[in-house]
Amino acid sequence: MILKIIREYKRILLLPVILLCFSASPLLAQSTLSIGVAPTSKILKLVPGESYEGEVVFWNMSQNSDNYQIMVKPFRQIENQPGTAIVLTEEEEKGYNFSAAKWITVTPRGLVKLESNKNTKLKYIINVPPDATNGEYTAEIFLISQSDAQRKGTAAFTNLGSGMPILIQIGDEFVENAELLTFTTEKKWYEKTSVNFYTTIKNIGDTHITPSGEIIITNIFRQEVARIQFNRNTQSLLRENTGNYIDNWTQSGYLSPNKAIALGPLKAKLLVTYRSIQPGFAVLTEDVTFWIIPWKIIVAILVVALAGIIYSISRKKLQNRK
Amino acid sequence: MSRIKAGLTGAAGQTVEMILAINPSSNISTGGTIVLEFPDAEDATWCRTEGSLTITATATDPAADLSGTGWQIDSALPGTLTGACTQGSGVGTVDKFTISGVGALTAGTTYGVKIGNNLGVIGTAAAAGEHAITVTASQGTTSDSKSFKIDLLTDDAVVITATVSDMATVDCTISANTVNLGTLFPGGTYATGSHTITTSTTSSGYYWAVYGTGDGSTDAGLWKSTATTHLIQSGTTATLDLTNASITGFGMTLSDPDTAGSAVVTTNFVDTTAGTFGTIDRLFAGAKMVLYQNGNQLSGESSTVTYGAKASAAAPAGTYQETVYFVCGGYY
Repeated sequence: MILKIIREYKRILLLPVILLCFSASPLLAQSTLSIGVAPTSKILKLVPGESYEGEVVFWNMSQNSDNYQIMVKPFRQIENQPGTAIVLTEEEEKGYNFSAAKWITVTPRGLVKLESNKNTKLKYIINVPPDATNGEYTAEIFLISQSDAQRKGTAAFTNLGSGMPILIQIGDEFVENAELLTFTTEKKWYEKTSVNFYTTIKNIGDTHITPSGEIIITNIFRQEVARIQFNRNTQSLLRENTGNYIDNWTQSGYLSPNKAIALGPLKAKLLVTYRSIQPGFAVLTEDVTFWIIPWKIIVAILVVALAGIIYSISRKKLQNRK
Repeated sequence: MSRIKAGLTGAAGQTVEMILAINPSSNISTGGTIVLEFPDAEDATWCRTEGSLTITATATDPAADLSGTGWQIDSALPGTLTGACTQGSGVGTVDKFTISGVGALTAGTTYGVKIGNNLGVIGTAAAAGEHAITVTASQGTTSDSKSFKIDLLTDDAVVITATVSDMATVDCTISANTVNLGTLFPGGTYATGSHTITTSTTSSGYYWAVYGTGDGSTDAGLWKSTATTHLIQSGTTATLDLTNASITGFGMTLSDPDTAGSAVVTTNFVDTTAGTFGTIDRLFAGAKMVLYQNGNQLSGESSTVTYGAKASAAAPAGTYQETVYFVCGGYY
């Protein structure tokens, strides 16, 4: 009994010790991080030996000034998200043949202080080497904060980065080629007319592409129910990359504006073009079928109908007895 | 067709060319014609200006990608080819493209021919949607006809404009650069801490990606850098259910900034299941998309980022920290 009390007492004593060890000390400084950038990207067509001068504006809308590290590095897409950019690691950079990072000089260099509520203009010069071979080269002028967070206690510290991806085409002849990998809906049937279409496109050309097109939805009577724009954000797909596009069709009710019924099996036809010249000569197309079944309404109608039948039969029986 | 946009006039920048792949089901002797007829209600749209057309026999036109269409052109259309377009006028007459001087055609062979502007100008119908076209190859009494549909789009190419007034901007804010995770009990329940990220943009969308630092080599996660070092690893699975007694680690969730809007928290980082957090990876190479929006967002909208952490029973006492990098941007 005494031993048990001592054990319990030990535990009670140990608890605050552990608590103290793992607990965070009061954190003294918590500041807001803010960065804005314009323009958000740049697409250029240059020739070997050409120099191009430009500027990118960053700003800081927080109440405190912060130091940011300026980086100029090639980039890639994040996961399979077209139109996104994340700079390459040094390891990745070694195996990348289309980096324009070395062509770009940014002024100032190194660290830049983004003053509170002020714009900071960074000037850059792109010097294309005279012996640059044809192709599409990429680099991003990227700023990342150098956090001054208090390094005390168990905590997550954050840094914030943003930048301007630059795509530089050298030469005139590019192969624009793409492959449609998938076009599907997330489910086979829906209760309501709100459907997400998932499209995966692989860029097998040697330059970025910006796919555009439409998804045409028709009902069992071949009437057009809806026509929605594909890739309305004009998200570009880098060379040798695969991109996932999500397009939503939402309609209130089961009748389209042109009075076509949106129930039962519906067919969605995807038509995508991606070439900058003569886009109609290379169309990616695919169909998918899905169902709209408003089962709650159907069940309610069936219940009412069944109740009516039961009532009618019961009434007849009662009348027969009389 | 080189362009499948509705309402093209055939003028500069709106030029339309067609490559016709025709496979007759019967032999047609030399001196015949091929006629394309367009819907009656679309007079003077397909043939914008009457006159001669440029007709080029082709077997392998590099401009047209026929892969996936089921068409493989076997041979260039034979003959001394000339072409003209004529406009329909009212009910009963239709726009027509006529190719004359066609050589002998063999059944089962696919012939290719390109049709382009000359004095006559090719356009497209005004409305997007399906348009039925009939193609007829004939010579004397022999005639072979087939109908097909062309689907015209509202737009078939992205036009990038770059003026000062519509220069795309993106503005990103993190409410606090330090998030206290409170107290972690070895083998105990999970601790949380949160801050918000806010975005506004005039571009066509925005995105946020995240990567961590961890111990600098193994994985992202909370790192105790003093002896005895220890990493509360974010983990190799996509998500962590920290309510599960046997699972420890470090992760995060984000709230949806606009429940009914177009901002999307990626699947692994949604905050709909209490105690389940998405895991993060290290460095740029490990950047994971956590939030994105299709379409602009003129006023700032916020998402609450909640970090969740749980220490294993073996975790030594001490201070654990992680530096999380947020990258935000607009689509290119």
